[in-house]
This record gives sequence, C-alpha cells and structure tokens, in this order.
Amino acid sequence: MNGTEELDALRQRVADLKAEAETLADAGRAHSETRAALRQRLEMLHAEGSRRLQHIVAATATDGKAPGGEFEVLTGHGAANLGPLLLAVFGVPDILKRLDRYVTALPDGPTTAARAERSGVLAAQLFEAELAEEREVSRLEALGVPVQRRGDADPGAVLWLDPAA
Amino acid sequence: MNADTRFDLAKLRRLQRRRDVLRAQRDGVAELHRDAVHVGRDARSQFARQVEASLQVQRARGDDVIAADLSPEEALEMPVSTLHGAGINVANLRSIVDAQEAAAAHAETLRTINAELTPLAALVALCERLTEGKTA
Repeated sequence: MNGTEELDALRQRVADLKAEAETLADAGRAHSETRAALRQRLEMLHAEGSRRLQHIVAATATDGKAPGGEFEVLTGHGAANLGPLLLAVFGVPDILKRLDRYVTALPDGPTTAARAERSGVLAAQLFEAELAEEREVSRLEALGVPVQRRGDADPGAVLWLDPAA
Repeated sequence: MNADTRFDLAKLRRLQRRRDVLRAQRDGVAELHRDAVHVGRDARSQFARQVEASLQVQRARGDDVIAADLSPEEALEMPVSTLHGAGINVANLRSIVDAQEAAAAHAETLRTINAELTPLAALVALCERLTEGKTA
C-alpha cells in the first residue's frame, strides 16, 4: 500500500464512522422505551378517566342525575375527550395490547442509554481516525507528496498537540 | 478536548500561508485566463470582419474562394496564398488558436488550483474558528 492508498483507507474509515454516527442519530426509539412512554401516558389518562367515572357515580348517588357533560360526544353536542373514559373502562393493559401492533410496526432503535454509550464510543473512534488521517497527511506533506486537504476535517484533530509529547 | 487544549498554531499558520499562496496563484491565473479570452475574442472579431470584407469582394467579382461560415480553424488549413488573396490575416488566425489554447491551459490550471484551494480554505476557516482567541 503506497502513501496515497493508506490515506484513502484512513479517509474511508472516517467516512464509515461518520455514516454510522448519522445512522445512530436517525435511528428510531427503542420499542421498550416507546411502550414504557405509552404506558405512562395511558396511566395518566386512566387516572383522569377514573376520577370522572367516580364523579358521575357520586353525583348520580347524590341527586339521582348523572352529569351529561362527560358523554357529550356520544350525543353529538360537544367534543369531549373520550380517551380517559375508555382507559377507565377497558383498563391500561388491554389498550396497551391493542396499541402494540402500531409500536411493532415502527423500526426498533437502541435504548437511550445504549445510544448514548455507542455515540460516545463512535465520537472517540472518529477522533482517533481523524488523528490517524492527519498524521498520514503530515507524513506525506513532509515527503513532498501533494495532498488535497479535506474541507470537513475535524480542526481539533488537524491542530492537535499531544499533551504527552 | 477541553478548555486547556493546546493547538498547533504553527501548523495553522502554515495552512494559512498555503491558502494565501494558492489564492494569489488563482487570481494571477484567472487574470491570464481573462486576457487570453479577451485576445481570442478580439482576434475572432477581426477575422469575422476580414471574412465579411472578403465576401463582399468575392460577390463583386463573382468568385467563390471562401465560404461565408469559414471558421478560423478551417482557414488555417487553407494555403497561405489563398488567405492572403482573400485578405485574411494569417498572424491573426494563429493568435486565435494560441489564445484558445492558452485559455484552455489556464482553465485547467485554475481547476487544479481550486481542487486544492477549496477544501483547504474551508479547513482553515474551521481551524480559525476553533482557535479564535487562543494561543499555543
């Protein structure tokens, strides 16, 4: 492998790592986290729906008349949010189960922790790869070999001064 | 990298110098290219006027020596005596070709310079932003 081929290989390594970082950034949320977030949201709605149902029952027990507002949408006179009532009636596990096919249809991604860990590893690998490229560029320049610089190189790697040196 | 990171500012200065040299070269060659294009355009205008004058003479005489759409390249293939007879300046024809070749050569040089200068200038700008207000 001559100098230019070595440089091409190092630049390919940088390009591959950048592509991997981009793919990671674009990756969807983990199904497990989506399900957990859904569960949390549904539990909030369930709590609200339970409160409403209790209110309807209590009001009915007090004066014999249930407040109609809770069911307005059923009579076509308003836009009541039926979500809480549905949750209160059917329960979170049943609704979650019904929603799961929509979760499964989405691409599964890494968890937040796994994403952060991989992102950190990739950033470190990318910096090392950029440093290796810069060392090769400097070596070729010292030999008088014409080298075209990369306009999107990491300036931190280009101007890196090894603290141990 | 943290706030205490030291940068190789000597390398940055080398990169800046190289960028400045390339910019100066590019500007110089761009001027030569413009000159060559200008000379070529003038020579072609002159050639066109000579052809037009020659065609008028031909029409008056009923000759058919040169074609109305004669190009400088075609004219150079013709015998010098014919060109002289038609009032076409041979030296002007050569200057058209020379200017064309010079412009093409300068354009190629500009492409080569820009291929090195464009990414280098972008990189230097990134380095300058990174080291703004910092010393080695």
